[in-house]
Order: sequence, then C-alpha cells, then structure tokens
Amino acid sequence: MSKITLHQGLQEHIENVSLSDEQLDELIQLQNTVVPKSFISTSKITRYSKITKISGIAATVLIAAVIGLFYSTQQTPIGEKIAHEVSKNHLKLKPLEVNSNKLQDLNEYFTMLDFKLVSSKILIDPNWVLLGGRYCTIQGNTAAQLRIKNLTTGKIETLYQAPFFANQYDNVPSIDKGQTPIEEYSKGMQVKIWTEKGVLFALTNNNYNK
Amino acid sequence: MFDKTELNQLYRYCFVLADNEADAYDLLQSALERYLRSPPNDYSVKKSYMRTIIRNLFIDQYRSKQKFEYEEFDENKVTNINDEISSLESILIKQEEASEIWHELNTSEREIMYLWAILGYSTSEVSNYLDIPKGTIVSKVSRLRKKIMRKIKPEVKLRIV
Repeated sequence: MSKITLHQGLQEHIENVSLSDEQLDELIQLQNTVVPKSFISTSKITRYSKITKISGIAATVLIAAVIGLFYSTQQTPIGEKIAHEVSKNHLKLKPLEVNSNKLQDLNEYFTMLDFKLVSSKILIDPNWVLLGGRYCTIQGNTAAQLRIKNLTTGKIETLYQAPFFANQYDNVPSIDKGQTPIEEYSKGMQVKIWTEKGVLFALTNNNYNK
Repeated sequence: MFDKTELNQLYRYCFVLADNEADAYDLLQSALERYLRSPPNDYSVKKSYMRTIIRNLFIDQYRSKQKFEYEEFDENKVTNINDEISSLESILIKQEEASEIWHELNTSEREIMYLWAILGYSTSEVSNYLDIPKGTIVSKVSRLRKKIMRKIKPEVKLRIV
C-alpha cells in the first residue's frame, strides 16, 4: 500500500471537515445583520483636527466609565442570562445529533458531558415525548439540549440540561427542596429554570399565554 | 465579511480546538458575533484576528475544566535538537492512519499540527503564535514524534532526506 507524508495525511484529514450549506447560510446571514464599524469613512476621520480627536477620545472614555459604573451596579441576573441564551438556541432549531425517545440512548451519546442526563418531575405528563438531542453550551459550560414534543398539541419545546455549579447558580430554585422554577421571558417565549438532582434545567414554552 | 471558503477555513481551526463538530460550530458562531461587534481596523489581518478571537474564546470556555494547558518547558530535560517541527516531514504513514493519529492527539498537540500542516508554520512561528517558548514546542514535538511512531505500524521507518 502506498504511503504519504504525515503532513499530507493530516492536511487531508483536517480539510475533510466542512460546514454544511445550512450552517454556511446561517453564518453569512449573521454577517449581514451586523453593521461593521468599517462603514465609518476613514477620509472623514482624517479631516478632524487633533483637538477634536482628543476631545472625542476623552468623551468616549467618560461615557465608557459611566456605562461601566452603571453595569457594575446593575448586573444581569443569572436567570435572565440563561433565558436569553436558551431562547436564542431554541429559535434556531438546529438539527439533532442523536434521535431517540430513550434517555438511556442519549446518555450513551453525550459522553462529553460532566454529568448524566436525568428525567424531571416537571415533565411527568406522558404526552411529552423525547425526540433527541444535541450538544450546546449554557453560560460557557458544555450542556445538552433535548427536543421534546407534546403528542396532543404537537408543540415542540427544548429542554436544556447543564452541569450545576453552586457558586454560579446560587439563586436558581431547587425542585428537590420544594421550590418552584424561575419564569423568565425572552424573545417572546417563557423559559422555566430550576435545578433538580444536581443538574441545571431550562425549559422553553412558546405558547405560555395561550 | 468572510466568504464561504474563509468560513470553512476558520471552522477547521475551531474543529482542531474543540475536537467535535457541534462545539466547533458553536465556537465559530460565538467568535463571529464577537468579531462583528468589534472588527479589526486593518481588514487584511481579519483571518488571523478571527483566529485569535476563536482561541481566546476556546481558552475562556475550557480553562475552568483544565482541558487546555500547556506544559512548561523543563530546561533540565534533555531534548533532541533535531525535534524542530519540520522533522515531522520525514514521517511516512498510510492514508487511513491520519485519522487514527489525529484521535490520539490532545488539544495542544492538535493545534500545533494544524499550524504546521495547514498554515505551514515553522517552529519559531508556532512559538510566536502560541506565545510559548520555542523550547516548549521542541519538547512537545519530541513527544508527538514518539506518540506518532508508536501509533503507526512498526514497519514504517523514517525516510532519509
């Protein structure tokens, strides 16, 4: 059998990996939604006098300091941050990496998680069935997003399970202690957040007001 | 703006770090959002700027799990002076062994291999890019060479160049 150099072998191996057409479209679209700073004409900037530039920098520093002070005193609560993150993820409905209605199958797939997926008391209604899942991150931690479907209404929701860190999620209610989940609202949907069996849960609810 | 070719190139770098396609895509998306919020002044360096964002984001996400640590170079350890990264050029493998070798590598080893095999960096350039001493790179290349040689079939010998 013919041999190739390690260099060539690794090059071919890495270059075999590529984005799907759907992912490429999503990234191209993302680039079109944000206006880059480059739209500010550089020729205009050169017309500014030195004093104007210095005044501008000073004003920017002052505004940044005021904004910094404002945010340092008004930190976004963890529930809002999680709700924002999961609602954004839910709306994308990215393709599932594993399809199964059994938690055991999913646990066999999610080998890179630092915890095991567990069932929740919140979802005891037998009308809810599991469709599958994919990896995601919640607050920078590797997590799983599980897609569930209500057989009666046809509604599809996303249930997130992430590792629980007491110092990071100290204000999140625990179902095991009889507390009720936080209800946050983001991107037009309700997100319930709680901890259970040592795992952080978040559940989207698109039709909360119906 | 990055075109499809550039996005794929950056995605491969994310894949090298994250080692799975789902995390690689999430990493690329987050890095792109950060890039768009704060683009570079000089667009000619946009890809290297983006790679820096990707690397910093990856380190931020994984540092707490200690998945991305470079070993310090031990000055007292004897290292073969010939273990410049270019010395790996002499290793011959069967095509299907590339994938097996790749899966044996840890994050920092994969990144070094990427910089060498895809971007064509020398030992000094890898050292500059990663901001770690050249001796550390030489030391890692030495261990990498041993790891690879253990993995490939025993009959494969170094080509004399």
